[in-house]
Amino acid sequence: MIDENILEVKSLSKSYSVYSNLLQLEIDKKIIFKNLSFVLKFNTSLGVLGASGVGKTTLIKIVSRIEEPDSGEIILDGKNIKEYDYKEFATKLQLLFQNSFSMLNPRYKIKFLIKERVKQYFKLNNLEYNKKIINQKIEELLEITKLPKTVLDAYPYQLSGGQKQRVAILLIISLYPKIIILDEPLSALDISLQAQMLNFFLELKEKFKLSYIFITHDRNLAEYFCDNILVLHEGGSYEIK
Amino acid sequence: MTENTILKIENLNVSFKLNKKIFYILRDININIHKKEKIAIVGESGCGKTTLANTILLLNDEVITDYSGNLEFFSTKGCCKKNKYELIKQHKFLSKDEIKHIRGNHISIIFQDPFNALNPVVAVGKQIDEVILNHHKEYNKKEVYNSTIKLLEMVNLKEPELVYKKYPHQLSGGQIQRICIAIAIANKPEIIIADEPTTALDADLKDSILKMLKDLVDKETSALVLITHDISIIKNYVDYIFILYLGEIIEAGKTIQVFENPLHPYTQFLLSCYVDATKKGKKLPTLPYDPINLYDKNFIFKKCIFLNRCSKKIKKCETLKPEVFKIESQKVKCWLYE
Repeated sequence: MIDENILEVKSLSKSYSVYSNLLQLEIDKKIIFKNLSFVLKFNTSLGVLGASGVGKTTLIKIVSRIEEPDSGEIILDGKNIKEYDYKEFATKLQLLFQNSFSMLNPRYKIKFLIKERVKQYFKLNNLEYNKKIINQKIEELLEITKLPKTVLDAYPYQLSGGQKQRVAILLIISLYPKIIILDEPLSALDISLQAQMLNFFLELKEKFKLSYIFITHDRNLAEYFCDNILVLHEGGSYEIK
Repeated sequence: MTENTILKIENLNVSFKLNKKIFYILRDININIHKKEKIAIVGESGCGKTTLANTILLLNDEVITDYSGNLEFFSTKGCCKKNKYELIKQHKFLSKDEIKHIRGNHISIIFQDPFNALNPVVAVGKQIDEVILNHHKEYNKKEVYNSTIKLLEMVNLKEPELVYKKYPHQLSGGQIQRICIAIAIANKPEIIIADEPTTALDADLKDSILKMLKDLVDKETSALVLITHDISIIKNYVDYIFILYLGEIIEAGKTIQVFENPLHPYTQFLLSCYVDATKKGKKLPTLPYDPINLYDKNFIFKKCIFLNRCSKKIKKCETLKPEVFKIESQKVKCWLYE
């Protein structure tokens, strides 16, 4: 199982058109990726490094089906990502954004936000649920993410930075995905919180046999956290370490 | 205090009154800043770094803020009648013009978020012009334009004439931060406060911005107060470090000494939780519990502020607030060094 590829990206190419200012005519093509291929093995982490503007975010968008590539294919858990319906896709792959606090609707209490997600989990897996089962599930998730029960009655603005990040991760974990894409998850946090979150990500990885794609621009962080590193360069070239 | 002192902060306390509670944000702050000196104030978010910067410029909301202690600024420019401003004692009596004269002319600030620091509907060159004109009313249009172009060149922006006409949205993050730095140094202030100048920028830009800031400060003979939460980035850029934890300076000293021999358990923790390949597979150190509330009067004035998270605490920490102990040139607020 360990050697199994959970995600395979095969000869992916993507370019954007550059338009002239005045007449909006296409004057050039900016190549983001040219024949990009890599694999993410089961229960490992792949770091994606690169300067700003090289296409780190474009890569996430393509892998998570927000954008279409020009050519190439992506195999997720043995199946082309185009063949998944969106509901099934959500149980396979989840994203944690740089500013994960924006995932939390400021108008609702945390309990409501978690409840909605848990209901979604039961619906996606065609399981029956009632109030009791949902509450049990919520308690279980709180225990995993080491959050106190008091957060349930709080609004997002009443939580500390670390707690907000944990709630965001709880929402993602509640669907039990196989891959989590972490897009610079630590850059908005203090150094002491960063260490706490890194330990937490590693714990979750072991517990749920997760695979991570870790987008960062910090080489030290990538070397600490990841098993393999994909370095993207300007103009579509890349290297894998 | 020596002749070279330009800013003297003595026993400064700042508190905010919010929702009928008093939050003791800064307590017993003592900092002396000398000419051409570069210092860094390091601490987690919520520890009062930005409040300290705002206090120096009297930018806190006067309705909710209470000050005590001394905050004195010694002008060396020779452009004003007074050589000494007692900012805290007198701030209620300083006229608006006087405060305006100090801000930007004697002490300037680079704010945390460069994207929100500029006016989106005014060309960036015009915004620099405005800062120069505010303090040099005798300049004519051409003189102002020329000084702005010179400033843009100083902050390493290519084609300054073109950049002059651009609007903030047409520039990248690094370029906008350079514009903010140009605004800060426009009137050759004696003190430049940089409040997390690199937080909103990419890692590859951080070093170049800090290096440029250091070179400019050296060139213009200003003093620099660098405020940051990232202790790792400042090593090569400042002479002194002040570690702030929940509104108190718990350790201060020369940069090299603090890095080589951190004394306070919190500083030791800060320096130990940096990651690199050598720590792979090992668990990183973390602090237990959350920081205490800043309105908990019984705790913050009677016990060590780091007590609930400290791994080296002794009995005395629970009953008495630690004094400041001097070890060589380092100062530390911890009973372990009694």
